[in-house]
Amino acid sequence: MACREEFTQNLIAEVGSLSSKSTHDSGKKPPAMSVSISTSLKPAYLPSPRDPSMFKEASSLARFGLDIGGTLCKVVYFEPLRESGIESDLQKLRSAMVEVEPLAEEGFVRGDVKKDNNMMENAIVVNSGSLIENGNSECSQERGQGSLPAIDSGFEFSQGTVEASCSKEFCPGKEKHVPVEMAKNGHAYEVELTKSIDDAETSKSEYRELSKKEIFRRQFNKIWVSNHEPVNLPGRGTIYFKCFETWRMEEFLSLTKELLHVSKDRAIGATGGGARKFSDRFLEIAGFHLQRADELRSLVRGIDFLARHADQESFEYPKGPYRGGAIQRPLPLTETSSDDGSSEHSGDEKTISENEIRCKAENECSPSANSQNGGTFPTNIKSHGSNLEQTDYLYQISTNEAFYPYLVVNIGSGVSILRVDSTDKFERVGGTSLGGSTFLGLVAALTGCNSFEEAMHLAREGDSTQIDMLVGDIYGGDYKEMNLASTTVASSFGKLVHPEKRSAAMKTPHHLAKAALLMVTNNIGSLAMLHARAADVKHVMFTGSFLHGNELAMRLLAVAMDFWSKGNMQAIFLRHEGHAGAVGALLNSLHISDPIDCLLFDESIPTHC
Amino acid sequence: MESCSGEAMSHNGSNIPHTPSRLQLDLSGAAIQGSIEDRNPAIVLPNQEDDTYHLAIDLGGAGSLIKLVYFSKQSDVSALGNASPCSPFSRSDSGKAGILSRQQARFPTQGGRLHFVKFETSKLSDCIEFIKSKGLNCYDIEDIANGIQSEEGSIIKATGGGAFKFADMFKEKLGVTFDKEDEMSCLVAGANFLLKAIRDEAFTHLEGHKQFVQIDPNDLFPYLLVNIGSGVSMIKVDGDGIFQRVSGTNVGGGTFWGLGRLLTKCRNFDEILELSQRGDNSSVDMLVGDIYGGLDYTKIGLSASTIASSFGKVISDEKDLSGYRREDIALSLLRMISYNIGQIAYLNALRYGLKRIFFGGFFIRGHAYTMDTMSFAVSFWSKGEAHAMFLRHEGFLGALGAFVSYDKLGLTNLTSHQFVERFPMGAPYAGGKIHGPPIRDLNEKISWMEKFVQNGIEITAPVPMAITGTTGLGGFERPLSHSSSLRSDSSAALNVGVLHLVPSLEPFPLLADPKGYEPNTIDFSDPEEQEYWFGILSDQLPDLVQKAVASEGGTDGAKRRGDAFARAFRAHLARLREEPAAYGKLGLANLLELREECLREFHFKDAYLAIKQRENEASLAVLPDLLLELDNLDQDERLLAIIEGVLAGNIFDWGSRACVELYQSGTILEIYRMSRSKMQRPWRVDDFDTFKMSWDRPHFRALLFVDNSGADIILGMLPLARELLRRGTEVVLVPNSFPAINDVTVMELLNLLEEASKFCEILRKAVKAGGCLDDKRIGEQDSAANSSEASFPKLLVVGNGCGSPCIDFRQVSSELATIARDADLVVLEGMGRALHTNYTAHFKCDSLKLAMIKNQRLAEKLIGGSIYDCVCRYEPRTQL
Repeated sequence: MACREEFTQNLIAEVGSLSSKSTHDSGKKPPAMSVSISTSLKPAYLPSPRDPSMFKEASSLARFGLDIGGTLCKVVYFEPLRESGIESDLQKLRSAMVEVEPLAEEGFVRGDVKKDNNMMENAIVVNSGSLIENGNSECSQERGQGSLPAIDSGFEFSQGTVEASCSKEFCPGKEKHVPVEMAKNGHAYEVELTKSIDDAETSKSEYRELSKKEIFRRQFNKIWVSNHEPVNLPGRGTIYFKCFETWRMEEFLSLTKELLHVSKDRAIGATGGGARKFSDRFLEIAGFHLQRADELRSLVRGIDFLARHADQESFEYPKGPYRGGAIQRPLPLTETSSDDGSSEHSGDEKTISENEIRCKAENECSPSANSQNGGTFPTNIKSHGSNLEQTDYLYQISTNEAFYPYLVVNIGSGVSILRVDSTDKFERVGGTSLGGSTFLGLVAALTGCNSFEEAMHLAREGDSTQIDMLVGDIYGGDYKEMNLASTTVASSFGKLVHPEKRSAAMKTPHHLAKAALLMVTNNIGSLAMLHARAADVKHVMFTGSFLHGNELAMRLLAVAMDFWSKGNMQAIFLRHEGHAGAVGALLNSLHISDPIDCLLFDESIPTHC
Repeated sequence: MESCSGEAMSHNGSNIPHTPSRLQLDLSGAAIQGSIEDRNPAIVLPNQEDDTYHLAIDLGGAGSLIKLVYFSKQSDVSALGNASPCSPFSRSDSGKAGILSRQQARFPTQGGRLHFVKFETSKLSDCIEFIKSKGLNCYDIEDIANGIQSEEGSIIKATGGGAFKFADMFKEKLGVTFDKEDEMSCLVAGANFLLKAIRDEAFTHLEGHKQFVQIDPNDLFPYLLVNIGSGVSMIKVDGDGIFQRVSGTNVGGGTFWGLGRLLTKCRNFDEILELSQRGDNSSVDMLVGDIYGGLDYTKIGLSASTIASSFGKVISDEKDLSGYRREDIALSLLRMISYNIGQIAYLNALRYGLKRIFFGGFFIRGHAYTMDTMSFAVSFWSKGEAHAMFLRHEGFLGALGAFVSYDKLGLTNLTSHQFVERFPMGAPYAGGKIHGPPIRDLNEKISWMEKFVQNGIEITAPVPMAITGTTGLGGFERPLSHSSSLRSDSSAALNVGVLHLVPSLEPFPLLADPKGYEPNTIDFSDPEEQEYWFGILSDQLPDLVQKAVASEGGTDGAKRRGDAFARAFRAHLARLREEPAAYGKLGLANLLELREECLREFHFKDAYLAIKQRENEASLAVLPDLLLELDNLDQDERLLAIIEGVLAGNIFDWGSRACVELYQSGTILEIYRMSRSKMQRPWRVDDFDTFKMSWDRPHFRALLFVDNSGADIILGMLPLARELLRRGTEVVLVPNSFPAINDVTVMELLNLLEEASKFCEILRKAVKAGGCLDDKRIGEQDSAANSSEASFPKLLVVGNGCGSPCIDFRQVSSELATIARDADLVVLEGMGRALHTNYTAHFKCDSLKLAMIKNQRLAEKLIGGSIYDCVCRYEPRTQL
């Protein structure tokens, strides 16, 4: 317990320094500030912090959490910061691990690789960014929109920076590892950053000398389907977020066997249905035990943790008109329609496309919303987070009783709806089988695309009014008696009933994708709304990987909640939308006696852990 | 003495010459008018003689259906509201005119029929042709009233999205203008109308089992109406015309159809539904078991077969669309949409605190799987507290609502007892769907039947329905693959019959518990019970056909009709075997009535006419002797002898197989004597002594529900009536208004009374006092009756309004209802009226149920006895 108190004090100190720093930085770079602190620290020319080399950051000290869903397997890992305070503990631990390490590296064929393992690793890490740049076209073909040019990496300049970016400076041997110096100010970051970039450029020529391990790494790179910014826990370490498609589990496991330095004497926290299903395979192939955690509990715990520790983790969309195909939308109230009534009605369809174009433009132009699909953090939104001074509902999630109860709508393959009364008290109140995989499955069946990114990309370009039957199609205008606007979707895919429309539709996969997206999203919105009313909550938290890079869906949900509740309910989203369960699983696997695990303990975790 | 019976007699008496074109006697029309010849056979495709009154149309969106509801009435307006011939009012109200005005004042709506017809939207031209050939476009309500045909073209109430789209086409092709009614209002009006006016309209559907729900019209609101068209609307209904669209979803029938079409390449909606019958969604949907490695997620109550994600598997396999079975995709789609609708509906009901959820709209189509899935969703999320209910006329809500909006028809105030639903030819096959051009006359219909059979399409659909597995999310097992079933699930759709509007029908006022009243004594939901009776009716068919043909003179035409009747009735039976709920809640009474209806439909007026006449004559011949014999007994002995006589006479029942066999071996009187000699007390159910004690106090008015012709009525019930009259009790004999087997009818009974009056002074005076017969017919020379006769207790004959061997006290003629109010004794006689139905019914007055059991199975089930046991059940009036 003494240990824990110490950390808490550290934490407080660090939080203080971080917030002062961030205000300072924001003064320097005002345009990007509104979005995210970590991105604001990046030079504008840098693209996504997509991490090309998978477990690059993960040392043998990393702690893992998996959420193995039906479609996606979410992976988070925590890499502790080597800090003076715990150095002795870590060293002890590390020396204990030396004995284990050879086991972990058995897979290496070449002796020299084995010998120079750490050196090699670092070289590769730096290379990988440019490698990917070169191999970009190849990747794009394979994964469609899934793969983005990504120079990575060392941008985890925050305090928790680990081996990947820093250790090159140090002696390769882990035993001799010297803790990374805490970066105390922005200059330090910039210096480090420049170094990384330089490294990346100069090492282009080296990429031919690929070790076997690098080949594995590249394979890993193909497996990942999304990327999220890491979360720094000041003074403690960094949490990284990855995920891959569950059907590639075997592949993942065999790669894991080669790359992952997890001591085999401890279990990996896991949740989701796959935690049970793949339990044996983990042991067989990778040699890991899974420590299973309840799915819903992990989810709630993960949300709580993320909301409190990640910068601007939660956000909401500003209230305002967004007409992107909202269903069952009533006509504007008479006072608004009297002003610009006719133009608004007739312009509805236009509004959709204009709005989308605008959103897209924002995505593209804004350095912060760094890609169409990878941009998990849209602009023009209001954030909540630990570093913001205004309405920080979630920052106070554990202390602010007013936030409870709230609803969690977790949109994964399917949808689960939970009512959360406290971190320990929650209940699954509903769910639906029309979830993310329904969207993906339908789009795949209809268009032949085969990834979520591809499907989302199609949907962004699409115009569902060619596919959906609108109120206007049926009534020739607004259905005034029932107060339904002509642009309201009356029946998803309803236009396909006409044979001629059908053949046209087959040639426009993007329209189909959009219709599928709207169908699933609107339905979730309706259910969320109804459950929110039934559960009598004011806040609805939407999570789940379906929302990854899915601004359209998030906006729709936000508007729907706001509209139907007449402003009384709030839709809240998480930047790490799909990973809460994995974080919860990670937290669940911690032991109070383990010094590294202690780094993750905080006031939100019941002491009995 | 003037009597409306004059006209009636002239048409219905046995001595009337029948011209082939005027043979038609239809129960429905007759239900009101008793004696008026009906030229409108009640068929779904009625002949041109139907005088069409009005039409409403519901044009759904694309891919949906066109629904027509139209009303036809009897062209003989003067006959409307006419009371049955022997109503006591015919005298006191001094004739027809008085009655007419009274009736019209009471029933703003004229009797007639509501027809329900639907077309695929793609067959719009068929629909237009149908309307044209039926002349539905020619009249509007004002013109009907004024007897003129509009030159401008009439105005038709129309609703549905297509009302806007197709307006021009209808104007151009039919010259009609649409008066567009709001869709939601129509849906609500239609639903309210159905739930109030049609008995057994709503039913639950769980795991393939339909159960009809009796809804008290006074406790209907509020409810949630979920209309599943292209999209889905959820409407909270608080009263007539008071409603609010509270929610909806864009995932509806159009989604099913549109997506289904793309994914399965099916060409019509039903094809996708049929495909889904053979599907197994586990290859397409991601189930909880797929995620959890075959295990349940029991902690939150999700079984391994719960769908976690619809279509969730499509992406994880690297195969394209053609790699999946169309059947599986169809099923997955169906479950996704049905379940989702059920879930959202429940959540809305929860939100507004509504106890009832009714589902309607074209998406359901009576498809068992769809209904099961929705029911499951509602029941699952409500933890069994809420029930999804479906409507038999689900597809016609909008059209009916539009029709009801013709405010002049005054339909909204009608209640369930004023409607009789019939399932004439065409209905059992088509479920209201039109195949081919309208049939114009009976001959054409018969040839259609013949062609139908010749083409090798078996009318019967003998493969019984495999019990559908449960469906849906959360605990739904995967459906069994029922490949052995040839039957399309869409045939599980319930039939929509022709709704006969009979404003003069009323509930019997003496029922002690009108709300809880159920006519059928034996629960007919037991498949074994059903099968037994289907078998009986099937076995009796050849004999019945033979009699029916003979009753029409055995001509070639009659033979042809007999043949058609047999086919049609067999098809009815087959349909019911396949789907017992096809025609609504099935009971023995309905089944027996269906047969009579079917006979009438094929213009067999009275199949047992000759037999009845023969028996009547034979019995009348011995009546004087019997009366003399009874008069010589002392009062106590006489009552017992009379009751014995009733029970013994009841042996003559052509509805009983055992009795028909008896007929082969002896004359009527021999059987009667034999039966009489077997009357050893105590009978199996013997309340005679209690009854006798009540006998000390004379009753004011007794209603005698009589059964068979011949010995039963003449040697059994007439002496009882006579005894009551003698004690000063007014007697109302209540025979059937229309023939059913050998049951005595109003007209026959009047003839019998005429004959009996000739040798019995008591009967003569009573008949005269009752005024049912023209004085001349009872040999009254002096029209100025002397004072003693004027004060004599009346003997009346009042038709019950039915044409069935059973009686359903929820719907009797208004004359009977009126005269019953002052009655203090009800006597039910015969198996049909006292045992099969009403055995457990309680009355506000004393009741006596008399019957001889001529069916071993019934004897065992009901009274633990055996065949030829007697029942004499007496119940003093139920204290309220």
